[in-house]
Amino acid sequence: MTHKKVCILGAFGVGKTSLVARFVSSIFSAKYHTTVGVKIDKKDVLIGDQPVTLVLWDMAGESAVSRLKTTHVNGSAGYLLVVDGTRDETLETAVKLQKEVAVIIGDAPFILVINKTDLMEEWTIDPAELEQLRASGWDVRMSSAKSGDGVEQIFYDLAARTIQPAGDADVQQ
Amino acid sequence: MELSGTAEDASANSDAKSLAELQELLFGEYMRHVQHLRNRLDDADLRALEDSKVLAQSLTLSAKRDPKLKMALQPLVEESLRLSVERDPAMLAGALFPIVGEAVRKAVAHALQQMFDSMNAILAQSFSLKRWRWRFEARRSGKTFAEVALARSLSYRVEHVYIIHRKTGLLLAEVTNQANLLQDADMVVGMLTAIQDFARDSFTSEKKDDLEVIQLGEFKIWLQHGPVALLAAVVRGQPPASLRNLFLVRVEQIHKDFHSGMAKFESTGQAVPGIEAGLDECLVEDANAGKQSYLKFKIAGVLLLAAMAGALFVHIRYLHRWSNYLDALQRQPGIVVIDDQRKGRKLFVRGLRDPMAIVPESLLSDYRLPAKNVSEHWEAYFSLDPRFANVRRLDAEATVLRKQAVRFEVDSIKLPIDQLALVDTVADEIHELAADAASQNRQLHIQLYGHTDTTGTDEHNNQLSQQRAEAIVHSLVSRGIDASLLSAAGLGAKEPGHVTDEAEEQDLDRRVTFQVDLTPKAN
Ligand SMILES: Nc1nc2c(ncn2[C@@H]2O[C@H](COP(=O)(O)OP(=O)(O)OP(=O)(O)O)[C@@H](O)[C@H]2O)c(=O)[nH]1
Ligand SMILES: [Mg+2]
Repeated sequence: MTHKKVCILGAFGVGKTSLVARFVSSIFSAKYHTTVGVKIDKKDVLIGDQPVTLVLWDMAGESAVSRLKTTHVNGSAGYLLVVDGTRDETLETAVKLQKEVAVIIGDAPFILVINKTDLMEEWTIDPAELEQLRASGWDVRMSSAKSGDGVEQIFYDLAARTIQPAGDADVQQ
Repeated sequence: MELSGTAEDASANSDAKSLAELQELLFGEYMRHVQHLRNRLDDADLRALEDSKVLAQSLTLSAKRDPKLKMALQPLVEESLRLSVERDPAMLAGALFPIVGEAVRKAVAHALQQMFDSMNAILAQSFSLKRWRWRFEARRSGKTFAEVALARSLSYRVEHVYIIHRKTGLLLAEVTNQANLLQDADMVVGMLTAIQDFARDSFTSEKKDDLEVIQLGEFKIWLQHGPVALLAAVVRGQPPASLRNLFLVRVEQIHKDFHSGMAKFESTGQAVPGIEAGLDECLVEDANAGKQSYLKFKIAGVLLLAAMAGALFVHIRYLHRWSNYLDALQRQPGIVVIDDQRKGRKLFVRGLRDPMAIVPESLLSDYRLPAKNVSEHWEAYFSLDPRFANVRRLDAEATVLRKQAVRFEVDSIKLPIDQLALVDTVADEIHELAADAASQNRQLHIQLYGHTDTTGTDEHNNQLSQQRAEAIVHSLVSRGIDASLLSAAGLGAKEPGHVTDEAEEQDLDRRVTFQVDLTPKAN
């Protein structure tokens, strides 16, 4: 059995905990309980015919008062950067975070997740900015923890990339 | 000849001289050398002096070459050591002190530490209120008491051991003896790592400092850090400090044996084969202390039961005495128990008591009941019990007879006609009295007293009164009364029967009265 540590990062309230809950136990709650420190969960997945145990580190969101605990990122095989589509400033946070994390763990695979597609009409995010990031090689996806759209796919794709032989990891499709 | 002799002598002399010179010339040096050597050999002092210079060296050499020397020397050394100790023990003690002191200090420190450890363990367990908490806990949690008691009285038990990859916080291996104790190992291990990161970031000034113990309710989590992997042991109870050594050795062993596998782990995420081998040796427990304290618990339980049984016995005996006492009271004639109560050790009884019945309190001591614990309240009543009724009747009959008086005419001993019926009545009464007295085992005796009025001489009156009494005795005997029950005496005018000094009152003086004595019959 292969074990992989995966971090879920992003600004506060973007839906990190919700995404993990949707993926691990297929539930969603509209209630907001902010995460303190880190919450650990896990899910066994099959990538092709290879079983992989994903240990998910759902971090406290970035905010004025809490900063990313760099030690928590240590040893991650990959990570998700989550953005709330209705709050464009959370994209900036994600970009900033990516830089910090890259310093710690190098070129680990990651996916930029724009969450809350079910509230698409309220989105404030600039599509041009997303295009720019795509062009620079980022894997940008959309999801809704509420409806479950895209969630499973994102985790499976990230898992698959964590078990690819080193070197292929940053090859984007 | 002389000359030649002299010449010969002279020449011989000169020959000898030249020989000596020659000798001296040729061998002088060697001869002195030989002499010197001979001196050295012959002179014991000198030889000793010389030997002493090389003795150490030669001993060393020969000890190297020939083990026999050591054997030869051993008894010598031993004997001299023995002698020296015998002669002056203080010397050897002084010589050994620095070494012995150190050794003793170490041993004492070790023993003390062990003593403290076990004392702590005992203290931690001998608090007996705990047992009741366990009972409560067992009931609350639905576990059996034994389970809880065992879990709590084990001096310690390693329930779970994780080997954690430090950098990723991922599980490398685990062993447990309680599969469902903690939830998913992957998550537990992740949390452990996060907690450590947190502790390191938040509390330690040196980022390198490692968290060593986490206290989680009834569990301690001991962390033993290696450069790549970390051993986390979930321990219940009071582990001894020496347990750390076991973990330390295991962590070192794992780093030695699986270094390459662990180094690759971060990139592959692949389990390191064989890493869990022998890990279960870390699942140690000290059930000894647990069993012992369980035994203590049993003994305490038995003692408690015995004490409770003892108290119960005393209490039951007390109640038993009380009920026996009440039964005895009920059996007593002239006593009716209406109500009895008990409040703690205080006893209450209420009822009716015939004045002729025994005093109830006098029975208390027969039943070993302390009078101060018993309060009694008795209303007086007349019992219809035949024993009392008969006695009462006898007394009544005697009283009636005592009030009778048979009257006489002036200066006469002849029974007046109007008194005949009275004598019949008195005779009947005496009959009954005699029968009742006999049935109640009493001795009856009736003393008849004759009286006169105050006229006439004393002498005459005495005689007259005597004769009157005898006359009545005679009349009674003739009516069938046993003469032995009766006796007659004359009192003259000493006890007149009149109240006023009226003349006709004198009639009351002339009479015969009856004194009744009832005494217990002595058989
Ligand atoms: N409509 C909608 N609401 C969402 C979605 N995802 C999360 N939410 C809501 O957003 C709020 C925050 O969600 P969380 O998952 O707790 O966010 P988080 O990123 O874990 O927040 P922190 O732990 O504070 O950093 C909650 O009220 C969620 O119900 C989504 O896809 N759609
Ligand atoms: Mg959260």
